[in-house]
Amino acid sequence: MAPLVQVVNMIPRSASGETHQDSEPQLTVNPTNPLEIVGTAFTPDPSGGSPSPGYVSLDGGQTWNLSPVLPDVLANDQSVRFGGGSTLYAATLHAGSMTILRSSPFRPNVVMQPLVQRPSIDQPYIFALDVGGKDRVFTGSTDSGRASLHHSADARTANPPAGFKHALLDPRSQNNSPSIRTAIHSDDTVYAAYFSWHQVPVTKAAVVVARDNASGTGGAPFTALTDGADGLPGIRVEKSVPIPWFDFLGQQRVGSALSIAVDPMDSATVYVAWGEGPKRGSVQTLRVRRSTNRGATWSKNRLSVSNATNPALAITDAGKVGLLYQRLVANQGQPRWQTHLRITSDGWATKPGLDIVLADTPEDAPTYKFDPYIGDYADLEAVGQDFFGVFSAHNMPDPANFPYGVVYQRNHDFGRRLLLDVDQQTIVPESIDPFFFHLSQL
Amino acid sequence: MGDPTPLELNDRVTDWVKAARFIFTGTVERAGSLSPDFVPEGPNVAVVRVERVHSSTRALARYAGQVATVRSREPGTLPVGKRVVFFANPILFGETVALDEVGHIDAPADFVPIEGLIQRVTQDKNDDELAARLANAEAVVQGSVVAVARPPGASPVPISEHDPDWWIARIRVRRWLKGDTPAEVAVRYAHSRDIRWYRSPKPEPGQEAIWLLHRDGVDVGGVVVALVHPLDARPIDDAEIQRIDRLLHSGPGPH
Repeated sequence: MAPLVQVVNMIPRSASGETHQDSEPQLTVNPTNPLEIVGTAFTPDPSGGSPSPGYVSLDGGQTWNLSPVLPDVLANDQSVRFGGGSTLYAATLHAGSMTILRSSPFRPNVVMQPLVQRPSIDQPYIFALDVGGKDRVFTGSTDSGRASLHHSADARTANPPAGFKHALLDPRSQNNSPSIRTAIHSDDTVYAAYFSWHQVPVTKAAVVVARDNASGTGGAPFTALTDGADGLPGIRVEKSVPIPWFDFLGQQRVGSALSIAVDPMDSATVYVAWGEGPKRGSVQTLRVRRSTNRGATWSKNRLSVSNATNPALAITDAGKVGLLYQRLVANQGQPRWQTHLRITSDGWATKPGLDIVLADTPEDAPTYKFDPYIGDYADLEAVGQDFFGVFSAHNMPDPANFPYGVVYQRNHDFGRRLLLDVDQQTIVPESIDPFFFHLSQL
Repeated sequence: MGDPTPLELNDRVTDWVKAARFIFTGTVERAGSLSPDFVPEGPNVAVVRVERVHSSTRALARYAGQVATVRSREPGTLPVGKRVVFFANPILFGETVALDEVGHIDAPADFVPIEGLIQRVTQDKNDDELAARLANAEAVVQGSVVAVARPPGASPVPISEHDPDWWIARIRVRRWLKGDTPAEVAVRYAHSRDIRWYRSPKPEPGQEAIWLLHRDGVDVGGVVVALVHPLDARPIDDAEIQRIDRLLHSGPGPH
């Protein structure tokens, strides 16, 4: 039986007149109530104020609202994750200063409260998991250019700073790409992935995975894996690969593409995906590898995708692995962004698995306003046996661009392929919008 | 809270105009909320039909004819059928918009006075912002860009995606409006198109403008003044020059 695929443009009807470049989306599903989903993108308050809106759905992603949940004006980076007890965590970046926020329990019309602030940060990216009633929260980022984690083993109810501690990850380099990603397992195993630069600015780097066996509560966090070649913490999955940095795929700035996911049923099985390049014919090639012994050794490339970015891995309770990515292709000479969700049951060992094209949209319009054009990341999350996710893409309402169908909330005319304002008459210029998706019946 | 008539466009209404991002005339259709999960129903919540938009951003400019949920400041002030001018701020964009009221007045027969007030207050708000930027400027000059270049020795590849990627613009000054600079002054600007910097000025060779030069604590090759705010490059036209002259010499305020 084919999976059920739902794709929804997240701009609400009452914001039909908006034309912002709503790139770099994120999504989190409340494990306590999966009908409750929160997303972010570079979407300012349509009325020009603050606080900043988050995308909130209370019906499993079928309809979306923009509700002011993030304090301050639109952030330069933002990331959200639900923990347990309907607690929502976020990390935002304003002018280089990170704020970790909490809403406990999350209320869709209440602004989140700050827990931690820290300067000289780049790309804070948060993960959270309820482990026995305590929320393990890990915010990866660079801190003054160095790979770091701000983490708490029990962040749900404590007063600020809610137990957050700081750890540096990389013993080999003082400089790292901004994407620091973690994967948390309910047995308190936590993996962290990062790029370790060989020189500044980067042309080559190591792809490193570190592990902690106790959610960072021990004396020397993230030192459980040691690389046999140099005896230092963190296994180098690749010792030296070219890494894009301020290279471009079409109008999209690429570099620092990284994702990691652990099997929720087996903490020994972990996947990592990264972007490397440029090489002839491909500005950035995504690689996917697997470890089945807690990160000690890694497979050869299980999947390679040329001219692609924004990898996001997730693993369902049934062990199905999903890889979301966006690939630049040429169709009759015209550049297009294809958003794929690849799904495998055997880790891409022998079979290609499912390849679901969620969207196939023009790349050369609309003209970009800022970097990143579609985002430095998209997002994929597994909840039970389903996949939920989000990506940003050109919002032309053309059903042909969405092979599995699409629902638009904002006013549109599929026949004329036009966006319409709230008056249903005025034509609205095309822009970049976030699109939610949900795959079930896998 | 009383309901001042349009003829009583007093300081209170002026404050409401300053505080509101969505000003419109509408009629109360019924009690209740169109988005009860976000704005629970209550004695101060009503559904309003928007009749005429007086002030908004582009996203709400064409909201006339639509319905909105309004949460008033005081219960009992929005009876069904009442037609008023709302001064409000959006708190939700969903199928419909929900608003927190700042204040309201009875809808006038003639909108000219209230729309005139909105126009004046909006101009004053814009003037206040520019006046603050002018007051903090090290220098304000009118001039044209001779050349732009990355500073010698600077890496063409930033360390962070949010790095400003400082470039230097050399501006030949034709007129000094504030402060003292050399006839050809070097200023720093963020060449980055990253989300953090894309709205900051990007001088181009030959471009003439009024430039607001600020010290920001950064020194790149001895260049300590910078253009970092969207207001730091002003267009050259008579009205803007007169406006800046006025704000520099008398400050913002009613005019």
